[in-house]
Formats: sequence, C-alpha cells, structure tokens
Amino acid sequence: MKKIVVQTIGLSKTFKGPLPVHAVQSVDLTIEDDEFTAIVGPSGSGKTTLLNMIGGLDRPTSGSVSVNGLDLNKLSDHELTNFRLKHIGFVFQSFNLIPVLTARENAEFILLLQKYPRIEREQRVLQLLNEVGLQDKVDSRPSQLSGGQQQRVAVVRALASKPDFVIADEPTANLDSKSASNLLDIMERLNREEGITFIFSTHDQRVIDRARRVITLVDGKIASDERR
Amino acid sequence: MIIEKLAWRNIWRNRRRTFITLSSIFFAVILSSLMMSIKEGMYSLMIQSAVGSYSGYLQINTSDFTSDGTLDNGFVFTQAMSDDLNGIKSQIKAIPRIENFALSAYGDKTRGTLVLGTDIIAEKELTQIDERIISGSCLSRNDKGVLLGKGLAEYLNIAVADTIVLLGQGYHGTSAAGKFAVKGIVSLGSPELSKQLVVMDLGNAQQLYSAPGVITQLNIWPSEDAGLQTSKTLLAGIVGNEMDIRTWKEVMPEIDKMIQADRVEGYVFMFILYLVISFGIFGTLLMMLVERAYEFGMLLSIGMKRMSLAFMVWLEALFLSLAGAMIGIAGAIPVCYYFNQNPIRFGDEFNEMFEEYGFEPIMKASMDLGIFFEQALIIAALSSILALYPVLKIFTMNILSSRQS
Ligand SMILES: Nc1ncnc2c1ncn2[C@@H]1O[C@H](COP(=O)(O)OP(=O)(O)O)[C@@H](O)[C@H]1O
Ligand SMILES: [Mg+2]
Repeated sequence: MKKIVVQTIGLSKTFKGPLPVHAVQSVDLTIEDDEFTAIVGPSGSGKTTLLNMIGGLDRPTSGSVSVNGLDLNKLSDHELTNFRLKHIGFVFQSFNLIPVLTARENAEFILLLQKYPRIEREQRVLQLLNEVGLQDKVDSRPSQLSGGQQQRVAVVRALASKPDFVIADEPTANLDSKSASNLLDIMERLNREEGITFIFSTHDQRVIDRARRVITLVDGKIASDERR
Repeated sequence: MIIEKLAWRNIWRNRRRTFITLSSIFFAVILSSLMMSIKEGMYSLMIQSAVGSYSGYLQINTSDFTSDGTLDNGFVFTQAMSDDLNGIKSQIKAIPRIENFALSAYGDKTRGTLVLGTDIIAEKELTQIDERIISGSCLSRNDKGVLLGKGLAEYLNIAVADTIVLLGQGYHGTSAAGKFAVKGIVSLGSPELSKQLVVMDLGNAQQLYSAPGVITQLNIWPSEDAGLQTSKTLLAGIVGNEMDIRTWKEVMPEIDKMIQADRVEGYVFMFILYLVISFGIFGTLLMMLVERAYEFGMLLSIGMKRMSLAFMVWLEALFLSLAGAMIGIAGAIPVCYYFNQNPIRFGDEFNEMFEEYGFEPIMKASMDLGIFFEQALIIAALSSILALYPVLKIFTMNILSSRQS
C-alpha cells in the first residue's frame, strides 16, 4: 500500500452570482505517493478550481481536502500560506518567474523563503538546473529564456525544497509541442528519480498520453479515472 | 537579503519612470536644502553678530535689572568677583559692562543712544571691537574718548576728532552730562546697534553716571567645551544665587522669535514642495502595484508571506525616495559649500531691505549637516506614508483574482 498524499471528500466549489456556477461537484479523489497524474477535461470543466483547492489556494464551498492527513479547512489563511510554502510546489501556465531575478535566483526562491543555508541551496539548485539542461542559463534573466526554459526553471523552483507534491496547472499550454514534450520528459524523470508526486492539468492529447493516471472532469465531476 | 535585493532591482524595472520620479525628488531636495541652508546661514550670521560679537551667550545681572533694565538696578562689581572670574578664565570669559541710555547731540542733530561702558581689553579679546574700526582708532584702557556706531555717526554727521555731547540720567537720580572726543567709528553686524551705540571705557562711564564700581551686567563667553549649563552653575558660585544668569535667548527673545518665525516660513515652503512631489511618488507606487498584480498573486500563491511582500513594497518606496534624496543632497552640498566659503555681500541698495529684518546684507549658506539629514528624513517619512496604500492593498488582495488578469 502506498502512502496517500492527497485525499478529497465530497469536494465542491460553487461560484456565487446571478447564475451560480458549480465549478467542482462532490469530488472524491485519492492521490498516492509518486503518482504522475493528469487532470484532463475541456476548458471550463473545473480543472483549475480543483487544483486550487487541492493546493490550498482556494477554499471549498463544501467537502474537504487533506494533505498527508492534515485537513486544510482547519488552517488559517496565514497557516495555509506557510503550508503551501513548505509542502506544495506550484507551476503555473505562464509568468511563473520573477523578472528581476536570474534563473538560479528564481529557482532558489522557495529555498530562500524557507531560509535554507546558502551552500545547500546552491548545490541543490545547480544540480537540478543541470538535470533540466539549463546549466548554461543559470545567470540569465527570464526575459532571456524561451518559454520552455522558463517553465523548466519553474519546475526546478517547485520541487527544489522537496514538497509533498507539485501542482502544475496547464504547464505546457503556452509551449510549442517540442518544448511541451521536453518539459514532460523532465517532469517524468524527476518524478521517477526524485520521487516527486506530480498532479498536472492539461487538455493536450500528447501530454495526456504521457500520464500514468488520467482523471477526466466533465462539468466539475469526475467522469473517468484510469490508471495505466 | 532576497527581499532587499528584489526591492532594489524592482525599482529599475521601468527606468524612465524611475528617472522621472528621482528627478522630481532631486529637485525638491536640492531646493529645500539650499533654502534651509541659506536661511540657517543667515540665522547664524545674525546670532554671530548679535550674540557672538556683542551680547555674549550668557548675561548676569540683578533680578531687578531683568524686569527693569536701568542703571539703578546695577550692582557693584567687587574685586573678589573679578578675581574669581579671572580664576576660571580658561573656561569662561566675562566682560563687565554698563549699558545705559543717553541723549547724544552734535551740531543741530540729536539722537537717543545706548552707552556701553566696558572693559576695553576684554572687549578686544572677545568681540574683536578693534578689528571693526572703520576710521580713527580703538580705545585704550582708561581712554577718555568714545567709539561711535557707523549708523549713529552718519546720522549725526560726526567724524573722528569731533566732540559729541551726551546727556542722561545718572545713578539714583543724579544727572549725567559730558563731552567726549570721538576716537573711532565702528562697523557693527547688527544694523540696529550700529544706529545707536556709543562705546566708552568702563571707568569713564562709571564717572559719567556717578556710579563708581557699579556695572549693570556681566556678559559671558563660555569656551566651546564648557556648556551653558555647567557655566551657569560655575558662575552662580561666584556671583551668588540672587543674581539672574540668563541665556542670550532669554535676554533677547525677539531675535530667537524672529528666527523661529522665519524658519516656520521655510517649513511651509518645504511642505508645499514635498506635497507636490508626493503626488508623483504616489503615482509611481500605484503604477508599480497595478502592473505587478499578477506577479504578487503568483508570489503569494507559492507561499511568500503578505508581510514579506508588503515589506518589499515599502522598501521599494524607501529606496526610490532615498536614492532621490541622496542625489539631491549630493547636488546641494557643493552649492551650499560654495556659498558658505564665498558669502554673497549684497550691494548697498539692499541694505534697507535687509535692515528691516535685522539682517546684515550678506548671504552665507550654512554647512550644518543636520539640514541635509533632515531632508532625507522627511523624504523617508513621506515615502513610508505613501507606501501605506500599496501595503494595505497587499494585505487585502485576493490571491486568485490578482492572478487572473
Ligand atoms: N472566480 C470565479 N468566479 C466565477 N466563476 C468562476 C471563477 N473561476 C472559475 N469560474 C467558473 O468555474 C468553471 C470552472 O472553471 P475552471 O476551474 O477555471 O476550469 P478549467 O480550468 O477546467 O478551464 C468555469 O465555468 C468558470 O467560468
Ligand atoms: Mg484552467
């Protein structure tokens, strides 16, 4: 039996308005250690909303999310921020990086906020940047990097501090297919070699094909959940 | 350290805007420092001419004299006092004086004057009266002649070697009258004093006023390291506790009040100047906030604390404005230094204007570093207040919606 990293029970989110939107509806989901899972579904199916709640960025209307047994509902906003910093890595669709910091400084950012000693920080980040093929770009600013390179720096930043899992919301959406497949290669390898759990969303079939587990959302509900 | 690094680099993200903001701060700071430096320079000249080269920093007189400054309220300057004062000469120097009023006359002109009977040797040492003789010569001890202020001599149309008549009231109802040869004309810093001063030897004045051994006051110049307070205590031991020992501000409150009032005027101008640039700084901060809403959302998402983000934004405001203040100060210091070393003496046509305010027609900038430090402090406080808005925004912003744009 593998360790359960994320568990949602009856997770729902309704956005209020003249026409309430039931973005996520009663989702029961269990994600285990070392998974490489894709959340897929058409635009508007609730992928982002689901990931935001799992990542402690948004609070559910009802139901709960627990990470390694800890119910996120029980945390204050302040505690949640700290929890995200220490336990969850994030990769967003684009503009992940701080424009005034170099690739290395961006990659180190979480470690800096967590006050890792300098030596440890440098070793870890340089090794990871090396692994993702950015050894020549460590001192480049984001504006000097391609979209794919920027996403690779974001991935390094997300997992440098060895979080419980990494959430990547459509990390390849702004990339050409070659960069997208390259990024997936890297994520897959880090998943295997570093044992990092990845949960990513996408609606790109080529990306979906790389996942070991595919959860399909339709109208905020799980329509299928297949492992392969 | 990462926060400080981020803040500093963030300032330079929009170089053009930063440059414009910096220049506005630069101009405000340079203008304010120049204005304050010139004002302070004039105040110190004024104090210098009124206090340093006339009244001294402390004055000792009887308490009756404090309320009614007439010769009748003078006191006997004993040999013991004189000896004691001599004993502390290395720390505190004193001039025994009589100040009394008299009517002066020459030809068909008369004018009220302030007669100063003084120890001419001490006077030379402390007020350098001999260096300010513009015609004739200075007095010597027991001299029977007098020195006249330039303004008075001009009014009476009297010259060196002419004889001036002085009429007044002596000690306890006696009448005082005498004729004195004019030995020299002195130029005095204060235009007010110049128009009414007659200087004579102390013994001569005591004779004129039938007040042997009596003085109205001791004027005191403490040395740099003997502070006013310690000097006061030391002097009280010599002259006794019944005597009033007052600072120049207490003796001549009008000078101090005038300086205060003029300084307030400066502050009002400064306030307006800084108010104007505040809008510019605020605009810059606001744009930085709007442009980076997405980035802030991202940073909060990955676990940066709102407090750290707010601190960063405050630092940005502080760095930006302090950088402006620094270059403003760096620009102002050489200019102030120049006008400190090369004071401008205005032509005679300005005399009247300046005299009205009791100033000498000289513009000399002050190099008191406190003036420049004050500008930096004001700017720092100002930007901190202006940064409150972005800081508040950061504490209330929604992580997700800021990332949606
Ligand atoms: N902040 C919000 N306010 C109102 N409706 C929202 C908000 N965020 C998302 N939605 C709605 O919720 C639904 C799911 O959105 P989302 O989770 O972004 O889907 P996906 O990521 O799969 O494209 C959509 O109908 C969207 O319009
Ligand atoms: Mg989405």
